[in-house]
Amino acid sequence: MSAGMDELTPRRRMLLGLGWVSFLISLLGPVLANVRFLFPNVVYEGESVLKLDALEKYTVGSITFFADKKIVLFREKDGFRACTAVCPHLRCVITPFVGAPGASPDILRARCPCHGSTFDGRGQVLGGPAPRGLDFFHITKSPDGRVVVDTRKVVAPSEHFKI
Amino acid sequence: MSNSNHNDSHVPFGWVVAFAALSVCAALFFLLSVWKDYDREWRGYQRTFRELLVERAGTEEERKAALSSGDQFEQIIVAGGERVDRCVMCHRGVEHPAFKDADQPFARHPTIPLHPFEQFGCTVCHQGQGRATSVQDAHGEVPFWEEPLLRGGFIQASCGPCHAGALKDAPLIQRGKLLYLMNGCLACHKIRGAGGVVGPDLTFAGERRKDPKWHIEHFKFPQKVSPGSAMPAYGHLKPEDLEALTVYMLSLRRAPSALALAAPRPAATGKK
Ligand code: FES
Repeated sequence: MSAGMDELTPRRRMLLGLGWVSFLISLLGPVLANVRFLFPNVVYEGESVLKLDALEKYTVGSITFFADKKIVLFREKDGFRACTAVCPHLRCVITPFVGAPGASPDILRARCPCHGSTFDGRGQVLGGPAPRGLDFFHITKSPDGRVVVDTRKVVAPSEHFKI
Repeated sequence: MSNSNHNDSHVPFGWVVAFAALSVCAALFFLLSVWKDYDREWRGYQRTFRELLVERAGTEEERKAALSSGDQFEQIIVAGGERVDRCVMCHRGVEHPAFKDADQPFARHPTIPLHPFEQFGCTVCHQGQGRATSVQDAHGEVPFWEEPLLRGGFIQASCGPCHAGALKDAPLIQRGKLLYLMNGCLACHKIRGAGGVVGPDLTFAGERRKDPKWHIEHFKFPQKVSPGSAMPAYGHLKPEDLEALTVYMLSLRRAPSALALAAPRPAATGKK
């Protein structure tokens, strides 16, 4: 801190400080903005929040297979569960679950037509090349009383949406 | 530190001022662009809707849910991206029973059997610019957007392409058709092979011009919007009749391709 410091008048100091701070903002800001650009607000890969029919439409014990939405909806005594119909192996769409109406999830079976993975009603792999079980999704109710499946939120296979 | 300060002090004061001024300008422009990107019309509508939601909440739970919901991007993807409708970003009450008699933009949409919104979207019937997120752009009432929002009775035209027959909820198409026959339009114009050859073929008239205002204007003063046209003016018809004729003209088009694609392919489902 020698003579140079003395010449740094308060005004000069303030201007320099202001200049550097703004300079950093205008430099770092766009960098951050570019990072933000990598996370788009919306994507066109199909909807992640799926709206199904009214709650009452699904009778207790029914299992509904939505081929277009690629999900399966279980209506059980305790409420609703929903899982993906996409096989975790190579993403084929599994067959609808088979089993007597109202049967326990343990004896339900669905198979993948591609390489024969077999799943039970809890999404567990019973055989075949699938590396892990089927994902189960969070369910809510829309204001107009319809089942809404949020495929962004994976939940435990045993979790029910109670009415 | 002292070294750089020492150097600074040798820089003429004018340069320091210039540096500070330029940097501040750059930073301000950047912040302005961030603000402009953030401060969108739809956020205001979502805020208002949230307030209404809180007001109308029946239970404490609903109230909490309404309060905790933030600004949301939302879109309906029709037929794998053929159309993308973001109308619901502002028209939040479309499916909300509590907004049955609310005013636009939050009014509830009547449920139309077999036409679920998540499958059909909005613009297939209403026209407008589905991807836009500001009022003017979204309603398509801007230059160079060929499908402006269909207001009032004109919306009936949208039933035409798929439901060629007489629809009881779209009487204006039938009425327009009748007027078309009664006023002798057929003498000059052809629709699906029937009619004269003096004027253009109107089989797909609704595909060429999708703006009702254009049609009305054209009926009143054909030469004004289509110079050199030999068509006589039909300004003597009642305004309701011109509207019905316009609806009929707008309805003359092929079914939207977005809807033709909607059925899933059997191979993808594992079912025959
Ligand atoms: S894709 Fe399902 S088993 Fe291979």
